[in-house]
Amino acid sequence: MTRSRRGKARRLAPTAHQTTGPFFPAQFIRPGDSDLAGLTGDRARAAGAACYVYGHVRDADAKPAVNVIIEIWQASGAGQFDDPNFFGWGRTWTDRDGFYSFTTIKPGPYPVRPGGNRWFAPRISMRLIGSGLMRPLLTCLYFPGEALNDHDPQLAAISSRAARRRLIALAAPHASAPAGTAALRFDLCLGGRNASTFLAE
Amino acid sequence: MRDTTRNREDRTQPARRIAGYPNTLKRSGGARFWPRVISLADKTGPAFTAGSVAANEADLSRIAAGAPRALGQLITVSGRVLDESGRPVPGCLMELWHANAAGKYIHHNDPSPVPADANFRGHGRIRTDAAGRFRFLTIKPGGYAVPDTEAGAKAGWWRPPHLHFSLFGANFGARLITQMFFPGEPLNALDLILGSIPDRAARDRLVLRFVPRTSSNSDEGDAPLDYTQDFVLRGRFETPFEGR
Repeated sequence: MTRSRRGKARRLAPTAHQTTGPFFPAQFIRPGDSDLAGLTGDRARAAGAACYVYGHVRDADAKPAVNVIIEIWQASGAGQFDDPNFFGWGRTWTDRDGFYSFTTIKPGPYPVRPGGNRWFAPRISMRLIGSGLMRPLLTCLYFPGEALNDHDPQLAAISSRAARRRLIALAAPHASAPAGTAALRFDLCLGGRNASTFLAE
Repeated sequence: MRDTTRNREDRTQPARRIAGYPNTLKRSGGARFWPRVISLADKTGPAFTAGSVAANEADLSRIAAGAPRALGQLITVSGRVLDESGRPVPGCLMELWHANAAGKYIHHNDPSPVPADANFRGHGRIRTDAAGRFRFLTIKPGGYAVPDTEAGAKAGWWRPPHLHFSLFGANFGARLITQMFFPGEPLNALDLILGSIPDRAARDRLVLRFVPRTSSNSDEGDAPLDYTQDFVLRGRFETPFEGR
């Protein structure tokens, strides 16, 4: 612990962010990184309801945003972040059409406080990085039709109904969705008037 | 107790929008950033085990052990990863990538006509040790001219030599993506990306320090020059959401 002369705990300033630039190595995005459910890659098959999350990422001019890296982090189907049978992290990037997809399982709800009776609704945390993003953009995907959405603390912290709604994915079939998965569409817009709901760092 | 994040003016972090760098104007988020409720999802993160990184991945200067070195000045880049309390972050997965000595990346998006180098690996990974330490071996990258034909792009912009780093930290909230620069480079003061950080001390923390050699060169035919810098990740002071 670093202390000032008065003995008070002193925080070190976090290192500044910088953009990834356009040349993030393809080798860092490994086969299986976008398949958290373990349907295709070398990860173990995860317990829970498999889903296919996909969407288009567009920039402020509504043009496809290529080469945007999307990282996700989520609880297991049982609502646990330390589930030894589920590696809740994934990474992919957008293709030349700005399209991305993950195969994962629907996360379980988890309590706001351990042992408490308030719950976060099922949700997937997302971090977007890439060329032109001087800092990461943070957002969160929620599932449509969840009763817990009405009581979720994060959704409650967003005062605009339209901004809340942009965090809720749409149930929408997709030809690339693996058999047996529920397909969820979650489009993202990186700027401008139609920007997605991004959360402060 | 702070239970959500808010938009605050933070002069130690870069501006999201940079005149002369058009992509930032299209990819900087909307007019408003909403408060983020800090939860278990921020206090936890993927556990990249020791087995997920091979020992030779910390050497970017050649494509395999025993292979010829890439062209350029051989360097080491070492330091520690700390949290905001100054405590080491062990087991932190770090990714490093950068241009070759001529200023060209190994990437299908790099249109630069400068020479590629078949002996350059260009990307590497390491996990910090129990004391939060890391050490990469690589070559010093060249600077390069940024394509400036797009409307609004700064004419004649050259990137200074720099290293790209990605750090995972102890949890999802600690994730850091940044760049490190070399001391004494005239291009540093002209760079739009480094210059987007208002606070001078915060900019200086992105500049590597040169460490003069204290051991003999004679036992190593290709003794590297040494550079060092520490990284400080967010976290530890963030408090979980308490509910009401």
